[in-house]
Amino acid sequence: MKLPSRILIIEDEILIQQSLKLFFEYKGVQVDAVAQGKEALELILKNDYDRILCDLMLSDITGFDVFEESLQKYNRQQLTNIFVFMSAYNSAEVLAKISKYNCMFISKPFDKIEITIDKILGL
Amino acid sequence: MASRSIGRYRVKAQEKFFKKILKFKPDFNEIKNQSYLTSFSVVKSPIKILQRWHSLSQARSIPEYLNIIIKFPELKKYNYIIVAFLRKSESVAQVYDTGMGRELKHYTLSSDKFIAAFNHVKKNKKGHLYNLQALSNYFHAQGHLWGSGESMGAVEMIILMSKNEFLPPDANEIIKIKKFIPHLFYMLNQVIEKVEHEYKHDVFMQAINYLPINISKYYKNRHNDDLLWVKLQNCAMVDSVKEVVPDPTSEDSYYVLEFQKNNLESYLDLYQYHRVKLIGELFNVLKHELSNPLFGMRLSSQILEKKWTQTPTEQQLYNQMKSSINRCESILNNIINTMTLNSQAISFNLLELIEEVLLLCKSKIKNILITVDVPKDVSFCASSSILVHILFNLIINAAEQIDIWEKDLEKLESASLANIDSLTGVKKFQGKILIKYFSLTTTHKILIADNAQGIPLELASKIFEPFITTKINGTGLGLPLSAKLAKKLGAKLDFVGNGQYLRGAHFEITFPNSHH
Repeated sequence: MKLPSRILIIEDEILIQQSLKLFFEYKGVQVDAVAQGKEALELILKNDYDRILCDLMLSDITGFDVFEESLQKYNRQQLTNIFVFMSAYNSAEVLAKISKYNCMFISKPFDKIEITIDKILGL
Repeated sequence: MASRSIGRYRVKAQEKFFKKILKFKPDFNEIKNQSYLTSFSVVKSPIKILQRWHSLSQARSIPEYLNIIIKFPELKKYNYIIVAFLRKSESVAQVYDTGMGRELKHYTLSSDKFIAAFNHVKKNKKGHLYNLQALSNYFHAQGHLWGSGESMGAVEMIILMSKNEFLPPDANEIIKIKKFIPHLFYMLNQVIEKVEHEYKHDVFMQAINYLPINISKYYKNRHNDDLLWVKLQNCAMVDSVKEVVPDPTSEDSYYVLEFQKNNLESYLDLYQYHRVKLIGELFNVLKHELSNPLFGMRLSSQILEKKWTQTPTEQQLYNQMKSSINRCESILNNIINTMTLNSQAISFNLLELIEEVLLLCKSKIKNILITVDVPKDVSFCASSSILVHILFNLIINAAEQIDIWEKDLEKLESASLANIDSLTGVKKFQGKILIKYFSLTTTHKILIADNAQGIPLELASKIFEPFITTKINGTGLGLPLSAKLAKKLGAKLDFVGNGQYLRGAHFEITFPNSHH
């Protein structure tokens, strides 16, 4: 499988954001990282990302909003392959909503870091 | 009219009963049209039939219910009558099995198996009748098994019967029984709800006796128990309850509770009530606000590991840090899981679960010697958070009793009564707790024992009653709640005496082998 060349991380917990960025960079991937949804949308519309790793609970808008707004550029099928949702909330209601989007979902915190990084990259 | 000769009370009871039956909408038309239970006319219906339905409506437990229905003439020839039900929030279904010349049996079925059986029963579109030999996997019966399933409120129920013959019953017999199966479900649902409410009622009665509220007058209202229970719970928030004036001519009577504003004790209880509510919300906050930074620390420390561990001392320091972060995450997860009391059954390793519980109790068991006699490979399938709750309660109780006993020993001046170390001559009592797992032929048990002073046998029957406590700040609800939670798991919590392994109290949680 081809290694994704450029990814976007949207996460407002800085320590998690910067650590994940480094993990991906060690794999040879180019990474952009932002904390706010609106900032992320500007980048999504401007650049082309192979993966968008997006936390659900951001300080300004939600991960779902970022997904919906990104439909300005991509169609739904493309977006479900690009988007990876991440969340510490795994109540039944949240999981039900996530399943409707049909994207990859990573629950925080996770244990096997290397394996999860590979999974996100589609390796 | 013949109705006058029956007697005023009986007619009244039968009318009430009819109104209840007719409320059962799904078969409303069917009920009205059949000659067997004719609409509204008490005169045309045979009194015996009405009486048996009336006595069924008075049943206060499932065994009582079953004992009445096996005497129905239509059901007399059935060797197997099986009644099974699952309350939607629970992980275990209850099955009762009886019949002509057979003893009543009670066993449990996991919710998955019950749901599979229920779906099987409902799948047949012909109606209530079908050969359910496939269900013999779940229910222990022989012969041509048939019946029906029904869902009412928060309960799903199955009623099945078999004559221990392999041919289906006669068509007329089927028609007769089919007519009253809906009533059986209706009554079964009533009994299930009554059993559920009995616990609430008992706690309510205890609360009346023990809570620091002033009761000016109280009477019993048999029909509004639930409403009053809700009222009592909400009463902590209000100063007074609206008084209901009893009707001197009616048989019913009413609870009246009055609170006094300047009663300091009830004010403190109000405060406690609010605090408990707040704690639930705080745990939610804890979960998200702490777990994110902890996760960040774990990730970043892994990245910096290479840079930080150039020398052995640095490596050791890094290991300690990693271990602390893991411990924080582990404690957080354990507390959150316990607070959410998820009743879904999952598969887990018993030894690991016990170690988790001990971690939660850490501060209380500091100077106590804990022996865990549990094999490494024991796996369970049950609600782990409920079991954690029960074990946590039992271990904390044991630790507190040890603490009390230690302090009592210190007070004793006589050296011969105190436990003296022969070498140093210093008083030394070592608190001990034993956690042991047993696997027997049909059950398996978890034992928790301590070496404190034990429980006097005269009190043994009372310890599971609500609001009984020896602790100054005790609520007296720990053991009754644990016993109720054990039931929820499909298990049983018992006090089995003092002195078997250690000199103090021994408690056992007994599981049927289906949990293995």
